[in-house]
Formats: sequence, structure tokens, C-alpha cells
Amino acid sequence: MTGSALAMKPRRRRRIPTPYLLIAPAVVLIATFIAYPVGTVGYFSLFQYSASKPWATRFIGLENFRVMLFEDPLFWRTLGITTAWVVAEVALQLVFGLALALILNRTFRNRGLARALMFAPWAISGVLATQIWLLIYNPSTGIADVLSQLGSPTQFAPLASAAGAFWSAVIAEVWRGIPFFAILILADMQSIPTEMYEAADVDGASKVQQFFFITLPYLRDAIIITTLLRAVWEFNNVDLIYTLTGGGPAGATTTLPLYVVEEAVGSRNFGYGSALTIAGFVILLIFSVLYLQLGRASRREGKS
Amino acid sequence: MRTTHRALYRAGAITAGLGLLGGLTACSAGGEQQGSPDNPVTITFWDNNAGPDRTPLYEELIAQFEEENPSIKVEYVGIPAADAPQKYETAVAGGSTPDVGIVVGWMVSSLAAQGALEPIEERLADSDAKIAEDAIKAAKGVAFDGELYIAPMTSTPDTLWYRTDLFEAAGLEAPETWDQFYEAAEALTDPAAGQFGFAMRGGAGSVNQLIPVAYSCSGIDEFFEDGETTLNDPKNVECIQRFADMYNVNTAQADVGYGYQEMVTAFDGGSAAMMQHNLGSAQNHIDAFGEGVVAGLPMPAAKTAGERTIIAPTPEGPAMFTGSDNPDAAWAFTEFLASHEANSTWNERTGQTPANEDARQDDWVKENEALNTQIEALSDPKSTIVTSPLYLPDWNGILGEMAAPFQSVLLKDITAQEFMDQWAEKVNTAEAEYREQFGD
Repeated sequence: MTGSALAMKPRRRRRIPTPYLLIAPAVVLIATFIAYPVGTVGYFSLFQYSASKPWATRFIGLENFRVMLFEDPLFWRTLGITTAWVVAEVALQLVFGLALALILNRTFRNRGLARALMFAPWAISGVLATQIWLLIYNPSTGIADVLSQLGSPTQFAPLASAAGAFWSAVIAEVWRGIPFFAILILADMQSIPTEMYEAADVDGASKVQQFFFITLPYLRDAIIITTLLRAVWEFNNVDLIYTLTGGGPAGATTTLPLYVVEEAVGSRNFGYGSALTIAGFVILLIFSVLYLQLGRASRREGKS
Repeated sequence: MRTTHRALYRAGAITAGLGLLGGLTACSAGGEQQGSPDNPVTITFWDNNAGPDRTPLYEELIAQFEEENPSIKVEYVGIPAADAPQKYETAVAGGSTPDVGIVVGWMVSSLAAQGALEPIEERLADSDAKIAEDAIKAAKGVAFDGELYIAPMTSTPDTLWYRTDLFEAAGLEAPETWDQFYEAAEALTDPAAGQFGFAMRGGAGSVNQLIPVAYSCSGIDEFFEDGETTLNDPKNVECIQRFADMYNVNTAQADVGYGYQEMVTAFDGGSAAMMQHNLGSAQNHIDAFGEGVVAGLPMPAAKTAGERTIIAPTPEGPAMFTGSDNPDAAWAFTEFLASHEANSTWNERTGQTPANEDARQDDWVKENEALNTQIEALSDPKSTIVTSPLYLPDWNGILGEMAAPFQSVLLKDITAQEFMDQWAEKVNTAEAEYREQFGD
């Protein structure tokens, strides 16, 4: 190796720095803003590290993970709530988003206005959406008040019971998330060649058959990527749940990320909070890989 | 291979060099500055309880301070009470603490243990501000190492606020004992009319208020007995269970989520006849109903009116943060807040007990009935004072962690026994760790 390398030295010397220099900014940015923070979290997860008790900080290996998996019922509970939350959110948003896209794909008067309006919830920040929904759920200003004026005998507070708070949060987030699915699916729908539908009409296929045999197969990739993205985002959703219910009542809406907030930000338990974060990271990583594999497999099947 | 490495190093060095340059220019602005009237130094001040009551008050005091000290400018940052603990803790973690900030007793230990607060005893000894001996003692008692980290402005005894007009109309006696309290809560509840006997704090900040509920009702006179907390003593458990059972019976259903603001809104909006808080909300009640409608009592007595068990009031005041670039300016403002005039103004407007010795002699103190009742109760020989372990650095975290389990008690998912056992276990662990670290 030395001989040939030496012989080529003059040419290489000029050429080699350029590509590294060119990718250096990206490498530095990724290292600073992704690798370093993720590494720090991994590092802290091996420590007993509570900021309020600096004297008690020490290396404890995988102890945090052992406690999390075998001794902390809250970890499993919050993971369960997170799963229910993600499934409910992604399924409902997909169904309603798809329905909305189908409607908006037709031609009707004021379609432009309808499309703009549909997009509005997506353009609202999570905290602002919360304020709107807090008013709706407030017993003295919201739907409970409207119902009581209509003669409903019982006063009720949607956010005061465990199930009520969970579904109240689900509805608020579904409202905000539908446009994401609708827009992306609508965009993909418009790339379906109209000849397909014309040919199907000639062959006597019904509208339902056209939907299942033309529209859906064309949308497969868009649906796979949107549901994956959305599942990851909803898994990590903090803004809306935190501001709407704060994880309550009695922890009924405390998802894994909110549990991390409670541990790390609330109780200053950075060590254990980091371990919980690593758990969430690993779960999402495995999920994403499996989901993409599944999508790839189904695409191969569709093509064969 | 060597050339490749060298090239990489060179690329790295260029990038690092550029970064350093940026860093250097940023650094040159640091260092302690001496202000002058033409070029004043600016210090940042955090108000831990911002809102329509406190914000204008501080703005007024700051204007007065800036007039007396033209070389210092105070930048006011208001933080809503519910967010204050997290804001402070996050600021410490991120190194972005203010120069001066109002810190409540139950936060002092955690912040001081992280090295964020400056001990101020020496500076205070050289100062003209005369702070009452008991206030200094209470302020030292909340620190993990017994040092003085806050210049106490006030202390906030727990208070049961009630509507005298509703009590009179229903022919009820003032809630001097817990039996009278429950009787009144029952009598003044009419769900159909949206009227409830009590506004309960079930959300943020709930657990802190359960300590006075438990001890005043059980009459237990020590927080620790032989290193173990009395929190889950059967008598305390019974008191908390009875209290929680009121939820959704003599309170509205929404109370499970109430923080400070929602609770005060419910009470001052007229839908609840009683509310437990401290003297801090006095002005809100006057604004809502006018003078003389709402009265405040210390927490009810266990059995006999007048024989009370009282949780020692939590001190509160400005602390200097170690991250300050201008400690002298920060002290000047801290000292100003502790001074006779400023302390008197502050407490008169908020209706709380002054910590300044001279301010306590001012005329307005004698005219404030709720305040006097509290001062009398605290010095009454029939009263028993229980001190809660505010010095535990874990204390604030434990209160936060127990908030969700308390909601479980309200929703009847767990019993008060399970709740108090959980809480006691956390306190015992924290106390044992603390003793191991610092001795008894």
C-alpha cells in the first residue's frame, strides 16, 4: 500500500481536503445538534443524577433500566397510554383525513376556500389549539354549558374523569391532525391518472371498487409514510396534552414523554429521565424499521 | 493514510478556529460592570407570582428603586406562580438564572443545593434593613444547610377563606373546627344552582395544601417521630380521606383539575362558599366582593375551637443568584425589598405579614383583621406549631410527584391510606438520605 500511495501523493493531496471541507458543516451540525445531545442522554442514563442532590450523583450502570423494566409500574402504564394514544390518533386522523381528501378531490363551487379552511387547524400551534379546546371543555363556558341550557340535568366536566380527559385530548388532537393527512393524500390523489378511472368506468367498476382497486393502491406509499411520521410525532406529542390536561387527572393522560417531563423537568431526576428517553428512542427506532420493512414487503407483493 | 488524516485535521482546525472566533467576540462583553447614571447596569428580577396583583406592585417598587439608585436598572420578568418552580429549575440547569428572584421557602433547598443561590447573611448583617428574628430563623430553616439564602419579605400562613354573607344567611357558625367546616360545606352546597360549599385545589399545588389539612385536623404535633414521618399516621389518613370524600359532593366536578388560579376564580366568582389558601389571595377577595364580605381564619381546630395545630408559615423573599454578573447591584435591590418602606408597602398591598421589624409596627397591620387573627393564632399559647421539612432538597419534587396520586384519591381509584403511605415512604427515604449526608 505504501508504494502506490506515495506515488500518487501529489495528486491526492490537492484533491482530498475538498470533499471533507464541503461536508464539514453538515457533519459539525449533526455532531453538535444530534450526536452530542443523544450521546449525553445515553451517558446520563447510566447515572443516579438528581440536580437537587448533587452530592448523590454516581455511576450506577444499567440500574435505571432495571428499575424501569421491573420495578416501575408507571413506566408500563405510561407506555400503555402512549400506545392507546398513538393508535387512536393515527387511525382516526387517517380515516377522517382520507375522507376529507376524497371530498376535496371532487370539483365543487368554492373548492379553493374549502381547502384553505380545511388547512386552518394544522396552522394553529398546539398551545393555541389547547386554549380553544379548554374553552370548549370548560364546564361553565363550553359544551357542558350549552347542553345544560338545552335542558341536560347533570353538569359535567369532560376533563375531570380519566376516560373523559383521554378522549377529550384525542378529539382535540384529531381535529388538529386531520389536515396533515388530508393535504398529503390529496396531493397524491391528484397524481392518479384519470384514464384509470375512465377505463374502470368502461369496464363497469363501481365507485367503491374504483376506490379499493385504483385509489388505495396508488396512495399506498403516501399512507405508509404519513402514518409512520404521524405515529412518531404522536408518540412524542407533548404540547397539546401537557397544556390541555397536564397528564391528569390522576395520570390518566400521562404518556411516556410526559412522564419524562415529570421526572426530568419536574423532579430534577435527570438520570432516570434520560433512561426513560432512551427507552422511547429505542421503541421508536424498532417500530420505524419494522414498519418500513412491512411497507416494502407489501409493495413487492403488490407489484408481483 | 497520513495525508488523509492531516487533511481532516486541517478541515477540523479551520472549522474550530472559526467557531472560536465567534466565541471570543461573545466573551469580550462579560465581566463585572460599574454602573453610572449615564450608563446604568441592568439586573434581571424574576417575580414568582406574576399577575394583575403583583406585577403593578413590583413595577411601582422598581420605579422607586431606580429613582433612588440611578446607576441601576431593574428588568422585571413576571412568571405565573404555577410555572415558577420549573422556570427556576430550568434556568439553573441552563445557566440562565436572573440576578434576583423571589423564591418561596419550599424551593430554596433544591436551588441552594445546586449552588444557584448566594448566602446573604453577612451582607444582611451590614445592612440597615431590620428583619425580625423569627423570620430569619424560619428562612434559615428551609435551607438544606441552615444558611440564609432569602431575605424574607413575608411568610404565608395557611388560611381558610369563607363568605360571611352566605354563612350568616344560612345561620352557620364560622368554621373554627373541622366539624363546623364540614357541616357548613354540606349546608352551602346546591349542585342544581351551581353552588358548592368548598373550592378544592385538586390540580397543581394541591399536595402542599394537604399538610395543613392533615395536621390541623388530626392534632398530631410532630412531623417526624424517631426519623419516620407521621404523615401516614391513622389519624392523618382519616382526616385526608374525609377531606377527599368532599370532592364532587360538596365541590364541583371540575375541582380535580384546579390550580391556584381556577380555585380563586371559582371562589371569587361566587360558586364556592369556602376556599383554602394562604393570606396571599386576600386582595382578590376584596376586589371581588368588597370589604368585609370574605373573612379569613387559620385552619380549623381538630376538636375544640381555639386549640389549633398550625403548620409553620412558609417564608418567601428575594434571593441573589450566584450566576449574577452584578452581585452588588443585585444586593442593592434585594436590600431595598427588605427595607422598612418597601416591605411595608408590599405587605400592605398583598395583605400579608411583614418580615421587617419596623414594618410590623405600622398602623395598617393593626387594621387588617385576617392578618391579625393569624398573628394572634401563631403567638397563642394554646396553638401547637408543626414544622414541615422544607429543608429536604427532595421536598418540592415529592410534592409534585404526589399530585397525580392525590387526584386518584379524589377519583376514588386509590384510598387515602395508599396515598399517604406512598407519600410517607418518599419522605422517609428523603429524610434518611438527608441525615446520612448532613447528619442530624
